[in-house]
Amino acid sequence: MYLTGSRTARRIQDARATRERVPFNVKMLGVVSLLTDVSSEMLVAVVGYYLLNVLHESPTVIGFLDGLYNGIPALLAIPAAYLADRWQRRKLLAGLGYGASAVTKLGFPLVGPSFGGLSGLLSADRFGKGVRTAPRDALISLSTPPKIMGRAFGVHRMLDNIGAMIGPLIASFVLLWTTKFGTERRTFDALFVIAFCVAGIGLVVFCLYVVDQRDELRERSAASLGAAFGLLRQRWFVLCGLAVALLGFAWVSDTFVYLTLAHRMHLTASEYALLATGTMGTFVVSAVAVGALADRIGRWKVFVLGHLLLVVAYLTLSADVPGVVMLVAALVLPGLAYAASDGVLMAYCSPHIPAALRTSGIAVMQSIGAVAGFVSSLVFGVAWSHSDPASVMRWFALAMAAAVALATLLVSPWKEHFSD
Amino acid sequence: MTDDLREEAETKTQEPAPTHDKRAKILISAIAVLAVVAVAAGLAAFLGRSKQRAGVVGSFTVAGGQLTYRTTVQGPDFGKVVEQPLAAAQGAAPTLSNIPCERSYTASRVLLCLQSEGDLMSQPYAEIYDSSLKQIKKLEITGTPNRARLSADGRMASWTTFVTGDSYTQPGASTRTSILDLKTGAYIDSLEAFAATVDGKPYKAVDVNYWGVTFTADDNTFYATMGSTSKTWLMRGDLKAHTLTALRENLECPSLSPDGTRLVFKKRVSDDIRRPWRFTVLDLATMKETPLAETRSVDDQAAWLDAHTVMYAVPHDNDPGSDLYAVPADGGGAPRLLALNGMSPSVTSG
Repeated sequence: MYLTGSRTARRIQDARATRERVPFNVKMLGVVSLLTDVSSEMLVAVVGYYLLNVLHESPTVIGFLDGLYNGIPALLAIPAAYLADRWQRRKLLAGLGYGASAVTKLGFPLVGPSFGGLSGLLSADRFGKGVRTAPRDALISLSTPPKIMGRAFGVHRMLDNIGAMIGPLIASFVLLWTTKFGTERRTFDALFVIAFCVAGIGLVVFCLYVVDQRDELRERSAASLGAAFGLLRQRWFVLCGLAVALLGFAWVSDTFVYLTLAHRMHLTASEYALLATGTMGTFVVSAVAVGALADRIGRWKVFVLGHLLLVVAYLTLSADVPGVVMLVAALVLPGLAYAASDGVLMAYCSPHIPAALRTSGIAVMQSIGAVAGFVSSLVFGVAWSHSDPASVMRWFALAMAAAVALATLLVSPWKEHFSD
Repeated sequence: MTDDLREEAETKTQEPAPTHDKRAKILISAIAVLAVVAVAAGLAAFLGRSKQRAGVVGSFTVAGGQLTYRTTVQGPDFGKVVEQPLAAAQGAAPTLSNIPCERSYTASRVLLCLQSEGDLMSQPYAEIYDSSLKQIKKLEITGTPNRARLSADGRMASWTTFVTGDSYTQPGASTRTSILDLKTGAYIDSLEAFAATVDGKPYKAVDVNYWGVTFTADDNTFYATMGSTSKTWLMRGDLKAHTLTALRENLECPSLSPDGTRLVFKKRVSDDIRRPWRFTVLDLATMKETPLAETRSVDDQAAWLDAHTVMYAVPHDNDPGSDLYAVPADGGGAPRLLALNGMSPSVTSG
């Protein structure tokens, strides 16, 4: 073309890139996540009921199992991610994760009402979750041109969370159905089969339409354990991880935001149950737009701005404001913050991590976030028991403001450069 | 690398994949097969559901001296409250009410029923019915119904629910216990508002939970369990004074005998979290404990069948049902089956 080489050409190319369509691979991964989430949420609702009413386990036992299972994905994430890099087989590991979760559902009718069998199956389901997350995000990042990374992650997270939203809805229908029509063994078995079918369709889509991104490793050492640890010697990786940890510590978990809201607005149980829909809804609606904005003005900038919204949210929750204002602040702002952090962080980090180590790097970042969130919840819980929710919120607003300031010092939002 | 080149490079590294057309065919057939399996599974469960009735439709009266419980016969009557004369033959069909409950209790022509309504958003309620089964009170409550109790004269009602939202520092659910005075309408939403004393000192902790209330004859004093830091206490409560005083440690779900002299309760005897309890009777005058002949670990607030016998529900191994058993309160004898497929038993006081 006659424009080749000129500045105008590059600008046209840039503009074309930002209008570029999100890769098919990413959309398919989103659909798979959606179906898997629907299936898992069905299971969560049914298994809780099953443990309590059919196996007659006490809530203490169920709570104990819950804590145990939630630890499994956290422990598995990094080793699984390392293997995905080592073998350059991200689709294999992600598929293993999706497959484990799908097959688990078929196991429930087979093991029947046995406590040991159920515990094993629930562990397998959680194993699937731990194994698939980082390889999946690595696949998204490797399938996407860096310029539209934010938007691509936005599209995936939107689909993923639609699943998480309609899953509980379906689960409620399902539970209603089980409790009204006899609550028999065969009813549960039917539900497990249905959950398997939903996850199975997801797995079929995954196998057929998701394409692996495998880098021909120039040297075997590129994805060795040493190289993986080498990530931890890179200055930007450490600074970024530190910033993510600080921001994670100051992030108040949804449960506490809702509890504070319920405490201050005297909500009933059914109103309380609706709160999560508000946050998730905002996340789903804004994920793509916020991702695209991040591509345009800078991903770290948007990531940090999202956390600034939380400062506003926490201050509102601790202040004497009308109920409506408090409700909007507590649901819409964290929803936007999710849209600005979850996928956007991945979109920011991914291009910085060598492709050979993409999965491991992503897994480390995600684990930092998970651990920080866990510590934050512990601190909030203890603080709440020694004080009242409004003042704890004020402290967390302060902590978040400080974390945002520190994060900006650690990784400057104004000097975002890409090596591509 | 320009984006076009990158795309080309990507297609090159792809494994030889079936053509687009073929993949679509596989996908559509897979969806069709799985959808048929899902629908078939659903239909099989729906068509195969039990239609067995749990008793006979008749005049349900909440009359004194009758054994009342919720039936767990699977089918259209699951959860409905039924009653039968104490002298009824083993296996005789009970009289059905049309009131489904998750927990129930009867006393002195009053029926207390905890149940959830609503389809997508289920909302639990505490409901009170009179002897003509007319609803006389309905209160919105929070959580999953767990215990229900009335005072012998039918004036005081109490219930405990499991509330998951409250528990955050540790795994496991917390409980909420409410008390309602049907005569004055006075309502205590949560016993946690009362001042608790342990060993003469005020007891304050965030993880305090109360469950399993049983009322004395004066309608002011009651007993309940307090749980905190993995310990439990028998508390004596005073409704007028809004106080709770610890009497004894390691005692759950007390239930006062009709003569007011003994409590049957769950004593924690094992560290096995799946079978921790043994039913034990406490003599309130001597504070002497007597373990009962029931050796299964039963998670229920027992009720008194008569002055010498307690009754409780033992869950089935693999369905949401349970059977009613009775055991002598003096530690002797052996558990005997009282009724199949029952839960929340009570002998309606006169």
